[in-house]
Amino acid sequence: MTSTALRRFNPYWMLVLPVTAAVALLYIAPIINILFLSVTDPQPGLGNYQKLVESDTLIRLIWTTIRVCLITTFFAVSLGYLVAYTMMHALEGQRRWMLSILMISFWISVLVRTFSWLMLLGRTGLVNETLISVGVISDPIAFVRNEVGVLIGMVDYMIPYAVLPLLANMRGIDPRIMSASRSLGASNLQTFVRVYLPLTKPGVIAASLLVFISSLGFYITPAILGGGKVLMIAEYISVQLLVTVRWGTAAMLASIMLISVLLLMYILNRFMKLGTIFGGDVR
Amino acid sequence: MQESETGTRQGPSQYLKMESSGKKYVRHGDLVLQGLTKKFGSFNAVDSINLTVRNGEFLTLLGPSGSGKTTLLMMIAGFVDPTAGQIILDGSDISNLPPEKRNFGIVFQGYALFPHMTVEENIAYPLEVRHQSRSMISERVKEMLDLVQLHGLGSRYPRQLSGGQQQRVALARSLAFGPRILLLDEPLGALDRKLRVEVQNELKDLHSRTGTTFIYVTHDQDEALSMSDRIAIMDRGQIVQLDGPTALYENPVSVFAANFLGKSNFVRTTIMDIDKTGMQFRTGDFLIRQKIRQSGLAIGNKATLAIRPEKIRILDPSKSEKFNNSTNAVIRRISYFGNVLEIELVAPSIGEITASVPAWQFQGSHSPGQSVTLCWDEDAAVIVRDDDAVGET
Repeated sequence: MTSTALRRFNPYWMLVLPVTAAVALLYIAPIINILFLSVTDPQPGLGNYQKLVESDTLIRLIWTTIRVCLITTFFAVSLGYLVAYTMMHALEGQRRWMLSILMISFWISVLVRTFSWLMLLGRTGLVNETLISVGVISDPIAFVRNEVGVLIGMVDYMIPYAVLPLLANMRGIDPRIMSASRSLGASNLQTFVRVYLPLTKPGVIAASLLVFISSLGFYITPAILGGGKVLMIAEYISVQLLVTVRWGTAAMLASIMLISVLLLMYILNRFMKLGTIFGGDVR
Repeated sequence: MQESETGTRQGPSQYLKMESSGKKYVRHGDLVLQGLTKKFGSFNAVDSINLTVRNGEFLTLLGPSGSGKTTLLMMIAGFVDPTAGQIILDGSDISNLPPEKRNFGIVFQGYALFPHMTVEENIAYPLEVRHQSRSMISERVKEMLDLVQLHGLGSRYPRQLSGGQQQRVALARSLAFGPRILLLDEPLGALDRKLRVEVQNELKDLHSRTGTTFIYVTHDQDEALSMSDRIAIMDRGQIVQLDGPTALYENPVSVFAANFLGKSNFVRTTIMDIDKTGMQFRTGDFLIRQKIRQSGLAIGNKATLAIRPEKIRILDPSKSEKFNNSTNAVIRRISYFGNVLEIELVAPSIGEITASVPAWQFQGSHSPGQSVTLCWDEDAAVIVRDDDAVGET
């Protein structure tokens, strides 16, 4: 019996043991601790979760978060589809350029990009100043410090997240299939609606889930571009932790988020292997 | 390059009749290509091709990769814009018509079936985009499934079918709307050898049952020979020769044509004598007599003779009666191919010669190093244009 156990034991696991231990200690343990806090603080029980149906503030908070994330997902995926489609049909050299620009924006810090929007769209920002000096408007338009501002910032940030899975999906489609459709008498539009769109459905679903999941945790963008008027779950958690010190509520919200993200990731993985989303391995 | 139809020496009788009754006579449904050219930069992928595809015929474009055959097919289909020239069907120029307006069926390499649709939905697709009635569509789909013998598989998805079955779905789909012409781009490339022969027969059968014009692109000479009414051999964007399979095989016009369709021996000679019944050629001190009558040649001209390996006879030198066109040779190598033996010989008078003989007849009776006599009949050789030798005819 000991011999089979010994044979099953692969000594190379020893090599990853320190890292595994570190992850367990520094990452998994705190997460479990949070899950634990949500049912123990301030007193043991499901009291924290009960607030979800009782507190108007919390209901409004979750509704705002879901609404903002859904709208962001819709626009980011629609615009991302256009970008990905254009990239697929561009010449090889142009495609490389477009991909570089996309990746650069992907890598720029969310803080920098959020402040850029503030400079562009603020009351005295570039867009309002230009429109006023041209005479199109007399009073500045409120682009920021409201939900529109949050949506603009989030959609902009999320487009690369939508483009990459869509590109991976579109690359896998044999262009001869579209030629076949044309040869069978379908116009360009018919070919797109009846053949291309259905074939990119897995990419659209993957992109939507990815964007939605990533949007759920947005903190900086709603805080800055929302001007305190658009309260999303991440910001609320931070307030609960740092200002009102109600760790139980914060832990409950964090747990809800964690569980929904894991659930969505599970669905996402069924549509597209996670590894292929960032274009590393298209096959 | 010599264009085709005037070069027809023999072929299926219907074309012979047609072409002798008037060279430029175009029937209803004939597809006429005039000076069709496609340039990619300075490279002529297709170089001013003139070709009339007869209504209802099975025409094969045969050539090595890069010969422009697929580009030509895609121009006919409408996916590649010609740089110059016209594509004419029933008197109107269709060169600028988009593919969906041409009503040509295309079977692509790799079939290009719609993976998200069932077999039935694939076949119904061309009818649906034409807004046919439901009842008409379901009737037609059934008809097409019967035609390609796939009844019972209508609700499967393409990925659940074998390569041969996918091939048939592609055929049914592109024939479902009754196309004017069916274009096939190396459709058998993905199939294994045995299946390929089977599908060849089915294709031929389908062609005769539907009566649709087939334009078939391949680099495989066996496919071309076994299925086609006419074959156009292509090289470097041009049609080298256009004729029926028999005529092409028996009377190649150039070294390239002789080599691409089958194998051939080439003997470079000088014309010594021309009379009413034929010509006499000389290479070294070997005199060759052939019953060839070809105008435009004079005594003293150089001529390259092409002789198919199976027309070379190998005789035992001891009982060698005096055959015409016979010379001594030594066997260098024998390769066994099951049905035939390929015997490589070296003849002092003409150099290397390959003979192909039935294996059952010759198995074991010859060996490398043996001295033999080789000869061929007076109608075995043809004069071909030598593309490599400049200044010769």
